[in-house]
Amino acid sequence: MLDLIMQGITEIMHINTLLFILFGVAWGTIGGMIPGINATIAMALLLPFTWGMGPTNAIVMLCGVYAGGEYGGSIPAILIGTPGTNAAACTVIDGHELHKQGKTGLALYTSLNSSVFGGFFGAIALLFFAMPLAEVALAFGPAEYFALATLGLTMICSLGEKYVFKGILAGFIGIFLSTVGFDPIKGVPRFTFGVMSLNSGFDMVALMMGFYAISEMFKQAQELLGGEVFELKGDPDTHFPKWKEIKGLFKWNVFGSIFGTIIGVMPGAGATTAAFISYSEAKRISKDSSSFGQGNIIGVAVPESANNAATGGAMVPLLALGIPGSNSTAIMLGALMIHNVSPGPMLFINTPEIPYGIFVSLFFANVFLFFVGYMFIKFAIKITSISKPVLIATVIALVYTGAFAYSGELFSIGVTLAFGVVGVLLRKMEIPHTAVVLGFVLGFLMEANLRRGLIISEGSFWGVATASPISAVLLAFAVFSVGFAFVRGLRMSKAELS
Amino acid sequence: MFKRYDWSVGLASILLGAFIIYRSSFWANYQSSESAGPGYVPVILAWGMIIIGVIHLVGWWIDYKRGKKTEDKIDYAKEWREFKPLLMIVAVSIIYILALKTVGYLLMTPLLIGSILWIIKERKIKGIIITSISVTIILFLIFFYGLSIKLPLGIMKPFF
Amino acid sequence: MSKKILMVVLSLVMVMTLVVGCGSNTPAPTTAAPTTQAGGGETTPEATTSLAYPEDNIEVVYHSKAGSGGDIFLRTMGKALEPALGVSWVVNNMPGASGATAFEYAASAEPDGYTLLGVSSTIITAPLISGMTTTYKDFEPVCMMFTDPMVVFVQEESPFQTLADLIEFGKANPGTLKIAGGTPGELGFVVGAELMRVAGFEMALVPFEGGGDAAVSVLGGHVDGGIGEYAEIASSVEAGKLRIIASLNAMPEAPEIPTFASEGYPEIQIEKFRGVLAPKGTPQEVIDKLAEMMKTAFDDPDFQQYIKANNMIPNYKVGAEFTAIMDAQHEQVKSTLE
Repeated sequence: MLDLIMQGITEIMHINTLLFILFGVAWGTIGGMIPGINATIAMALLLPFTWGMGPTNAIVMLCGVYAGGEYGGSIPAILIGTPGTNAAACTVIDGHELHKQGKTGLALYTSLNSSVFGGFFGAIALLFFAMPLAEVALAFGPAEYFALATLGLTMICSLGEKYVFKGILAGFIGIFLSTVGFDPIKGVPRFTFGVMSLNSGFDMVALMMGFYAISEMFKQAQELLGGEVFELKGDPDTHFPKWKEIKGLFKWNVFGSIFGTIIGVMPGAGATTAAFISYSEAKRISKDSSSFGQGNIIGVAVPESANNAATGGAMVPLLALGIPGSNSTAIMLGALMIHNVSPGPMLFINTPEIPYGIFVSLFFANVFLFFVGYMFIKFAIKITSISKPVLIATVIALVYTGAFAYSGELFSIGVTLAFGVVGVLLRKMEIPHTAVVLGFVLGFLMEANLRRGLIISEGSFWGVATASPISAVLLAFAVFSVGFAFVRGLRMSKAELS
Repeated sequence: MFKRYDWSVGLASILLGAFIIYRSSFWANYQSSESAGPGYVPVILAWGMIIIGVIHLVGWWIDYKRGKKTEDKIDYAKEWREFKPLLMIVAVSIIYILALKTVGYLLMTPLLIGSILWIIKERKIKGIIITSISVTIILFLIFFYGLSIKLPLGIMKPFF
Repeated sequence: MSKKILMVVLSLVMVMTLVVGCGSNTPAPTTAAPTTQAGGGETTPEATTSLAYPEDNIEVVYHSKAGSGGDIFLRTMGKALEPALGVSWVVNNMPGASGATAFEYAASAEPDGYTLLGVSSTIITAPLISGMTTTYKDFEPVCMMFTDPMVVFVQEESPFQTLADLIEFGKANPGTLKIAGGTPGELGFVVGAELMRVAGFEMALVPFEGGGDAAVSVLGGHVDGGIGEYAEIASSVEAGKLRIIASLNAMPEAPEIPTFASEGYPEIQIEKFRGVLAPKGTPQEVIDKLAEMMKTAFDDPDFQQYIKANNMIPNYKVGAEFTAIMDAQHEQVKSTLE
């Protein structure tokens, strides 16, 4: 394999190839930073330009965009509570809190470090374990996806902290929201009331931006008017984290990266699912789980490493099976096809320099990502000095523009606005909106695969649950954690009363 | 299980649950061949919501009976004052959405930004105008030229 | 300091744009206004008839986002056509509302031949599923270019060797045969439904989001087989992991694969097509000239490479023939939705 790696390196080590990777990373980061624009769209925009380039240059540039795109979303997520990409919505939860507490540098740089770490992890996994990981992807059928999604969803019980029922309610609302649109099995429109624009369901982008950004802006507007002007204590602390802080997060980065890589490998799930599930599991096993959501740096490190590791993971089915694991890799597939490269198992045999070139380029992409991200952070921090009213108005305009840009429909702006209002109401009623988002993100995965699993098992739930060791284990975990969450909730309320 | 007994939460979730069940009944005929039709999961969710809603209502009732102070008297005037700016922003946003295609991005967005600034009590007219126009221009450059997103031009179309 | 960084980044962006801009003639996705690329030249059209068309850039609307299979098809075809057209072939992606956005935009556009609609079979299926008011009948057919072959495939280790095997098993064990396909209304599902109807047996169709997901399911052994586009599984077939039992359409590149017709079911005629439509009212002479020019795309060697790589079957049809195919497909899909 070493000689193949060397082949890959010789493919990449041309100055213009490296420049393309660098450009891709920068372009992707910018795209990720802009709400409504994600890695997929950023790639799609470059696609026409790739025709004049050789296949290697085209693909490595797109890899760079992918890596940068999954990172870039965290910058606005932390600074203005607006996720730049869907996966970054998970970063908003703790990242924005940290910023409000003045630990801006910690949040921003940790997100960068974790993203780079995750990217490297995913790339290494891709390089050494592409084939075994592809087997993992194949082992996950409908029953297994259902079990995984259910396990992730059980998190809604603990997200309500001691208000377990409110957490469950929130999750249910989220799942319900995900059922709006075409039924994945029967193709009938559900809850669309004849509105064409709802046929594919609520735009996740619009919903996220509404829930997080718009409702946050509403809240800040209220604070502003109520006289409780939130003042950062002095200047935000923007220093690069000390080595001790970085070291402490190492195991969490690994944790997130493992989840990210494996979930990224599965065609049905991508960076967003990876971010949320890894966040949920980290919170579950952490000793200090109540602090998640109040500004726990782990809550930034885990999802960020997960969503970047997912880029490496998503390339596994693309290269090893010729099947795109996500929208972004679908575009890469398109680019490859245009250059008459057919990914799949034969790719490694016929033209090994291409996949190995891609592996190597991912390494370079993540190295570049560190420097590009570092520069962008320095630039983005200036945003914090913008006055509050201007920020509020600008963010609202930005988010509306982004929502429109994403889908090309005015309807999306309406969706964003509507969910902004819903977010405010939920806050008022103390219903955890993270649980709603979690329900929405995982709802489709859970439901579609439950029903597919039922078709396969011919109507037997037990059949779905025991379809394979994977599904059985995951579901057992799910049941266990629901029970555990209830016990915990009871304990917490007892502690309060005493 | 400690619960904050908001009867409003309880009521709302019961209503939502009932609504879902009602809509799902239209798909009853799709439950033919498989055990899980389009209404399957939504109905389960709905029942869950109703149950939780009932729990909330019951719990609130119990605490109310016990005389426990579940929450302070709701200061309706204060609530209204807090909500008014939000409603105004919502109203402005709706106007924005409706007029965007006809009037165009370049004219509506400064209006949007300006009115939001006004709603949150900014009064420096010059500042408002400068902010509205410059932010719009920056956003326009980024999205229309940088990303080739076709923002609606509306009445400014002839200039392009 | 930040200004310097911005300058560096911007100049990097400009350098890149120039470098790649010189490489290709095709403009970025969207703007309909004529754009010129640095370094590219436009060849003057050879007037095959006296009709002064095209004189302006042609906008082709498509209902899927950039990077999707159909989008790449249109762009690649555009690249091959530009020498003959003499103007830019601009693909405008309008995803949304299951295609309604694109369909309605194109249907209400000026019927002057400068706005076209790129289509695949979705133009038939989507309106039926969603109940759209705009359907394929609101357009004039320009030409159909390809058939995307649909196949029935199984795992390499599967005991099923022929279509007859599958059907036999299905008849003996009704409802236990699990086949991955698309959602109702999509052609994959239609294939399955037709097969069940004509051959007279029952199997369980498991709908998936896309051919890719279905293929993974088959590879992983979660279902017994699948129905999908050949292009989606070609690499797995080549690697020997999947085996195609039968194809809906005769594939010249792979003549050893039996077709449904040769297996005894010629009545099952399903063609996933790709082509171009024009808004109703477009002058016939414009359509004819355009169709003629589109035929020349087949001569472009790059395009031929693309066709081969994607295993598409060139199937050039115009006018009434194209309409007939669309009509037939419309009826087929409609019947499966009832």
